Amino acid sequence: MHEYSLACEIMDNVISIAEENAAKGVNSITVGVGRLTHVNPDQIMFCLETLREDNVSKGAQIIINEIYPEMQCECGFCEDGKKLCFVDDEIIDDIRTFLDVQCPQCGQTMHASGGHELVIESIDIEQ
Amino acid sequence: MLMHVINVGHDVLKANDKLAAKNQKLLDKNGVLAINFMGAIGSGKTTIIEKTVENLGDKYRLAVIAGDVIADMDAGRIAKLGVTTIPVNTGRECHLDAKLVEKALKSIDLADVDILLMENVGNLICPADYKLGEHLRVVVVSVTEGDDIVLKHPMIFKHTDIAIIHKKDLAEAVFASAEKMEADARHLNPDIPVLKTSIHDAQSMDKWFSTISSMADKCRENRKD
Ligand SMILES: [Zn+2]
Repeated sequence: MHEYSLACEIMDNVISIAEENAAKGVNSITVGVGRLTHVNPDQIMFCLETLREDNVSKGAQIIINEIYPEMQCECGFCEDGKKLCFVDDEIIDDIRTFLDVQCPQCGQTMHASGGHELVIESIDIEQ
Repeated sequence: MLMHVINVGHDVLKANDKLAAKNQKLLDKNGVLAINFMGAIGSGKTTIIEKTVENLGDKYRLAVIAGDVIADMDAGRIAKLGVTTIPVNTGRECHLDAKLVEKALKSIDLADVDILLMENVGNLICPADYKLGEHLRVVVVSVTEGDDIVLKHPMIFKHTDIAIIHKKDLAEAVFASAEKMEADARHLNPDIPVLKTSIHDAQSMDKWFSTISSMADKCRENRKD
C-alpha cells in the first residue's frame, strides 16, 4: 500500500512548512488527489488522520479534493472529466472511465490531460 | 490568534518524476539503457531477466536492480549468473521509486554497464505511478493470471512501452487466450509492441532479445565520451 508512505511524505512537508511559519497549530490540510493515480482518497485520509496525532498538526482537519482530468479531443473539443464520473448522482469509482471516451463531436478517442497529481494544496495554520 | 492559509502546491508524485529525470540524465551520460520490468507476482519477470542475462551477457555488460518487499531471493537467483545485482528492499512499499533507484545507482559502476534491468515489486498497480529514470517500461503478464488481467489494470498498460504476455504455452491449460490479452493491450495503447513469449519457444524469446539489443546499441552510440 503506497498511501501510507505518501501520507508520511505529505505530513513531513506540512510539519516543515508549519515550522518555517512559526505555527502554533495546524487547523486544516488540503490535499488534491488526481483521479488517474492509484492513490485511494479514503486511504490517504485515514493515513493522514493517523499521522497527525503527535505533532503540530494534531487535530487538523484533513480535506481531500479529487482532481479530475480534462478530456481533450484532437478536433478541439474539451470537456471536464468530472462529468463522466457521475451517473444519476452516483459516482463511478473506476479509472477506466477516462480511458475509453469517444468524442461527442467527432467520435475519436479522447485524451485525458492531468489527473496524475498528488498535491498538498494548502495548509491553514495558527500563528 | 492569527489564522493564515498557506498555498503550498507541492506535488508529491511530481517530486518523484523530477528525481527520475535526474536518474535518467545520469544513465544517459553513461550510455546505459535502463529497463523497468513491471508485472504481477509469478508473471515471470525474474525468469525473463535471467534469460536476458544468459542470452545477452556475452555481448553487453549488464547490471540488475532487484526490488523486493522483504526478501532478496530474486536478487540471489540473478546474482548466481555472475552479473552485478543490487537488491533493493522496499520495506513496506509496493513499488520501486526514483529515490530507491538513485541510491542503488550509487553502488553500480555505470561506466561499466550497457543495460540496466530493474525488476520492480510484483504488482500491476503502484509501479504505474512511479517513474524510476528508465528508458523503457516493460509490463510482463502471464496467461496464468487470467486473460482479463490486462483490462483490470488499464493504467499500467496505457503507460508502458512494451507488453510481454508470458507463458503462452500454458494458455489452453488455464482456459485463457493470449490473443485476447494482446487485443486488450492494443485497445488501451494502440501502438504498443506486444510480445507473446514462452521460455519453451526459443523464437519468441529471441524476438525480445533482439528488441532490446537494438535499443542498447542505440544507447551505446549516444554514449557521451
Ligand atoms: Zn473530437
